[in-house]
Amino acid sequence: MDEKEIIVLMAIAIPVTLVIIVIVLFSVFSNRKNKLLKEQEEAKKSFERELAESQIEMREETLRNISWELHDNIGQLMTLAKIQTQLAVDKPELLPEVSDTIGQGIDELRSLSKLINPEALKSLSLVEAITLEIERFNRLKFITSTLEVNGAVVPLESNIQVILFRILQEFFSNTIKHSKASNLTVTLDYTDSQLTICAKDDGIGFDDNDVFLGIGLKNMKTRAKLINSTLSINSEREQGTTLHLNYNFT
Amino acid sequence: MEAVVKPLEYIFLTLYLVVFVISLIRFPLYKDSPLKYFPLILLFTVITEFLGGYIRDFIGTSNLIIFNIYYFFYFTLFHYVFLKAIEEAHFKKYIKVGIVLFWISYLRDILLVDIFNYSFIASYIVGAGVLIFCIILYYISVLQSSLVLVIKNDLLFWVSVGLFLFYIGYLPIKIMRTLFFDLTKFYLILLIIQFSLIIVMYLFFLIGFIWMKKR
Repeated sequence: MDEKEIIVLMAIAIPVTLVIIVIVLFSVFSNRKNKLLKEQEEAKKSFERELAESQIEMREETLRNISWELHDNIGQLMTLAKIQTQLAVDKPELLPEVSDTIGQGIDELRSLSKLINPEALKSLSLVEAITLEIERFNRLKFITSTLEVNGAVVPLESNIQVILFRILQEFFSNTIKHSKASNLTVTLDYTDSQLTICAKDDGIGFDDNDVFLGIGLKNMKTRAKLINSTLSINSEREQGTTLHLNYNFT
Repeated sequence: MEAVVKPLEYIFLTLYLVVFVISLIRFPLYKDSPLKYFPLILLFTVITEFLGGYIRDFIGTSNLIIFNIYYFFYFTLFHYVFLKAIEEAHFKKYIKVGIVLFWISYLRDILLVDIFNYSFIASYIVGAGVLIFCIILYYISVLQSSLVLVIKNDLLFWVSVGLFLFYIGYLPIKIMRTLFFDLTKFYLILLIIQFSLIIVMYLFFLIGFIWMKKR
């Protein structure tokens, strides 16, 4: 091949090669962009699905709690009031006690109506929602619970709050149902960049092989991942269970 | 054929100036990015081209020394831009190795090649090769990140496309011209392709400046 042939070949090959490069380059970038957009869309859908599921589960949990409160707390108070009223027929000096019991029942009903009101629930901050849960556990003597909040509280988006609260509610529910714990401590640490939640019970703990708890844990982790937070649950037999959750504000 | 070459030369020299002026107007949008030295490269290119043309047309001596010096700063600045733009530590390491290779080859050319009368072909090939390699690493880096979603508004992407196409097309021409330099009509074909490549490269720069958005 002489010089002229090489030059003619180059004069044809160079533009053709460049056109091919442009087509390949732009289709690679375009495909990648479309793939990322699809992934983002799927992540958004998944987030919305989990959010909706969390809201439904929260409502179910609330209804269960109301049922327990009506049966175990207000129901008991009303039964006591009824017995006291029957006794007061013969001993009228017992009437103030009847009045006290009914008053206590009314107070409990007021607390309960606050829990049922969806508007009140929506307007609650994460700290207020956890405080209500902790107060309920203590009032109903389910478990001795404390809440500690460190740092300046940073308001969160309501969707994020729902997911965080649902994760904690799941943990509390497992603690009360399965752990046989006497104490539950919840700590919220707010810094400028992140919220660290630590919930600890002193129950019987569980093994990693526990399938039932494993599924619950998987749900909690999936939800934590959806809001770009990290969740870990550490447990040992007879050593209690601890939940650690880090949520970055940015 | 020469009737085509001369207007093309004027077009790309005008494009150099236009792109340089636009780069200054849009400078506030990218002054905090690794491309902040880009106007400096463009100014350096404009000065070199005009000075080279002046020496060739009015003094009548070889202007190769101007271009031999120019390539060193041109490639080093672009290598630096990609070194800063890419975040992956292992890619940065490869680029650093590439820069050192280019400098060694340049030093070899200074010692062994007559800087006044011959083109520094070896270091040019290494410099352009390293630049193509940097651009490929930059594309891999972008494709692995979410930056790909807003790539249309990224100045460096359009600059890199322009550079990539230019050097893929120009490297074989440079080698051919250095090996068998002879101004016959066949070589003029390559000159037309070379000037067209410059125009295409600067048009991509122009698209970048027009479509760019501050990140």
